[in-house]
Amino acid sequence: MPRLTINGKEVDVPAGTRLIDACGAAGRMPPHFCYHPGLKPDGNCRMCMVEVEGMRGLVASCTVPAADGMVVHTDSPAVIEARRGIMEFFLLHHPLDCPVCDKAGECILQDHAFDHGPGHSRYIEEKTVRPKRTLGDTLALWPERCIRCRRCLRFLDDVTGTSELGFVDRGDHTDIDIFPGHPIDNPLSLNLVDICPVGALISRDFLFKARVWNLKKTDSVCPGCSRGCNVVVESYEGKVARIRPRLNNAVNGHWMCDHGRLMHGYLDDSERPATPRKREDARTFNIPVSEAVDVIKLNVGGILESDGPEAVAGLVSPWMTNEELHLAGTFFRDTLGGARLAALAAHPGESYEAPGGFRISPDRNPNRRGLQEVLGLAPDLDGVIKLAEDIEAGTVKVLIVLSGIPGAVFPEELVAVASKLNLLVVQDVMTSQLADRAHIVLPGAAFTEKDGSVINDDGRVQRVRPALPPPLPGGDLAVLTALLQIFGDDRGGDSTASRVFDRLAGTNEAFKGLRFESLGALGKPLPGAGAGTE
Amino acid sequence: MSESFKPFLLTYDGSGDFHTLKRYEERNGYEAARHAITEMEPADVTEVVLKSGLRGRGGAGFPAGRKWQFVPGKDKVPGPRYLVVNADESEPGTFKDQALLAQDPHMVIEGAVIAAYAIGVEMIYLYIRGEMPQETVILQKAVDEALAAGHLGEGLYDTDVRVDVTIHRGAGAYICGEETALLTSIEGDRGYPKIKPPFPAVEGLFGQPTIINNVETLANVPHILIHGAEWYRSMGTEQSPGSKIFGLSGHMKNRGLFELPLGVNLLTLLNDENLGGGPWQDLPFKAVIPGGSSVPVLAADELDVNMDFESLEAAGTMLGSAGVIAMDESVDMMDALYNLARFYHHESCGQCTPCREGSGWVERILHRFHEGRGREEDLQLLLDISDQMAGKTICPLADALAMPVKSHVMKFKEDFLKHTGGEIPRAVPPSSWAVG
Repeated sequence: MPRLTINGKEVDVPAGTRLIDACGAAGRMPPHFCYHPGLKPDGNCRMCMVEVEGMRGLVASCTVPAADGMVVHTDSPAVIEARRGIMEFFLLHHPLDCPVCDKAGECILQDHAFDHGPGHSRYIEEKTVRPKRTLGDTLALWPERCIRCRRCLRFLDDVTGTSELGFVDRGDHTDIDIFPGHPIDNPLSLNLVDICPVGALISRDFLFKARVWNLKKTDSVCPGCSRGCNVVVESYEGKVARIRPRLNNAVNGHWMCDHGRLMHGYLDDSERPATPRKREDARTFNIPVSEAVDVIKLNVGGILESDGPEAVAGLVSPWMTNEELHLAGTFFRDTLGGARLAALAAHPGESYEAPGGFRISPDRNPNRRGLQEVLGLAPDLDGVIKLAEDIEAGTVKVLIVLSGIPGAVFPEELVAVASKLNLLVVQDVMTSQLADRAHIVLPGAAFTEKDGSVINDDGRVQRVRPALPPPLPGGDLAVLTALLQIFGDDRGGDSTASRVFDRLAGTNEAFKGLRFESLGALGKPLPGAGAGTE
Repeated sequence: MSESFKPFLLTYDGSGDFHTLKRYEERNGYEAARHAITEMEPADVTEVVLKSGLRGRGGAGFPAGRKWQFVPGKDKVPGPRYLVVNADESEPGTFKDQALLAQDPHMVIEGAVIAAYAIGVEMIYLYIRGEMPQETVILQKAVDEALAAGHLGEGLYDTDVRVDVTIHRGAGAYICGEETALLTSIEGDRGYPKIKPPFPAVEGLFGQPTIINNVETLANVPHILIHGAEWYRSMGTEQSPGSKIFGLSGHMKNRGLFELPLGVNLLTLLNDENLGGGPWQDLPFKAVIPGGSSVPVLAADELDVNMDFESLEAAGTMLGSAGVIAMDESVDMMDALYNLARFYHHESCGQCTPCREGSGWVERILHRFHEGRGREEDLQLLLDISDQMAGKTICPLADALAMPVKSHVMKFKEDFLKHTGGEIPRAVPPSSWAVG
């Protein structure tokens, strides 16, 4: 274990640590642009230079391995002077258009100019001018802002292996560009916007939407597939403005995919159910949730008496949190005395494996594993079609659907027989043909409005946090609790996600030893989960 | 000047077939290569070159034998080794390698073969700048002749030693003369210098141990092998042994290439009637660049210095590529620097910030001076920019610009002040906000 002295303090670091990270471990990470922990170091920005006794001049700390006995000064006068010079160079041709640049507020150039720059420029010559252009469906380029750090090229070479971007021209005419006719087109393209230290690479989705310092940031996980990439949901004025990845070396590293970033569009769909509704013949009425619950109690109670619990069915989904699934299981199986439970899922998509190690799962559901561990259920289209047959035959008279899956998933066979039901309740985030036939429609919470936990395909239990309030206070958990209570089951009494999870962990072997509050920002593996967790 | 010195690198007699194998066989004729391969161990070859004190002739002056010793053994690093001949000669004021390649290509090839044998190399890459098409043709013909005659290829001189040569053309980049950029260029990428360590001797071309040597350096090798290390050391100085090709250009009477032992006095080189012959017109010398444009310029009162590595370093400049550029009193040193700045700005690869931005800034400032719109404070600004560039980059191109800037500004201030006083543009023109 090399031991270094950094700014007078002794620090031990693992062998193979780069000097820049050793300085970071000592509490003084040198400022840098081109260095990124998820990419191979390049050493071109020259901002991370520090002084190492015995080595000539200043060294770029990102390219030097930390060696035993090194005596390092990260803020000597020579280093401070050098940083000032580098910052002055960076800003020579920079358009300084912060007022109209998306990156303002999270721009490394701004930050380092403020901390390390000279505060004024001595450059009075002409600045170079280059027109902005798009680089593909997701990205636009403002080339005058580019500082040629090569992070984008390195990402496309080493992580996605697609190399759509290259340098053209030489010297200070160097630009990044795509090969004519070959725009940037890969599932991870928007990570380029995250890693670009300046506002050169811009997300066309987020362009001009919000100032980043106005964004409310909520840690959560992405529901786009079963990987459960850690994300930050960033919202503004009640809407999701942007979703970005959070570092979790056990799941997604530094990255997330474009699908996960861009799927939030459905949240703004004006047809999304916003209040509970009751349908009588052709007319629908907005009703308070208490009335909805009363209607359910009346109808379900009646069918239980006349036909027994086998005539009642529930449809759940792997978009529900562990806590919602637990309460749903309690309700259908215990409280109603053995109602039938089935599950539908979002259709599978393509799997993807980046050469640099990032994975997109073909399973486009965030909590299939939770469905399995909490309820012992798997999504089963055949089972649902059988359920439809039983509805047609009249043996199932009540169906309560708890979905939450964006996108159409209800098979035609089910929609066709919906009118046969005595009571159809649909709780969802989207309108659908099935919901149009429902007697009661409840506005479901979207994934960005849930509080709870889900389990990814490695068996890692991760927190989902609400970035925005759900349509109904307390979300889907509160609806399930109200149903439990109205049927006289007190176990739904305390419906915070935390308490439900801890109760689940107390009764379900698969969750043994876990506690909600200890899941933390990076989640915890199920006890006995396999490789890929830590 | 020593009367007993007889040039051995530049022996071209003006005949039309001097460069052919037939004529080369009347000179060295690959005897040194044959001797080395059939009668010496590789390590012994390196030992001779090391003892001779031969220092690299590309500009850095690193001892060649010592560099060859950096190649790790096959037990440590398996796989092929490579020798790269750096024929990318692009340093302003330098044209010696061009002459060697055009006039005596077999001497260069022989030197490379001996080096390859010493290091355990089976493939030599000869990187020749794209702007030398005629020399490339001559070189390719020489390689073909050597191959046909058994001086290249498999089973050299009835041994199992194999050496081949691939000629790789550059495409117009000074930066590709920097050894690691040269390697990335051969590998098919843009010529971008790489961070060292790892050094090419350990991890170079295609990730394998690689030695890069200058053309003139290798041209010395057959002679050292034939006449011995002691003979080589009998010329030049203790720290700079051997003979050197000096390129004289600019305002002296006799311009061209002169081969002399290292240590010759610069004033002698400039003024001796058999050498530079003095100023070409009646104006005296004003400034002399001793070693190619990337070294500090010497003023007229600084020319009494010996042309070897250590003396020039002590005088605050460098031997570099020994491209001696003389400028007489008619030269405006500001314009001379502007000319150089345009070169370095054009050639900067753009990889690292100080050189990419600084070189353009320096050129733009000097352009203003060129138009008579310099400011007195620009002189300090130019020095500051040089300090912000030098020593802070991946390769020394930034230093190569910084040194002329500093030496021109500090030694010839009046030539800059002559160009001040014009109107300075007040603000960045609104055209920079244009879209598309």
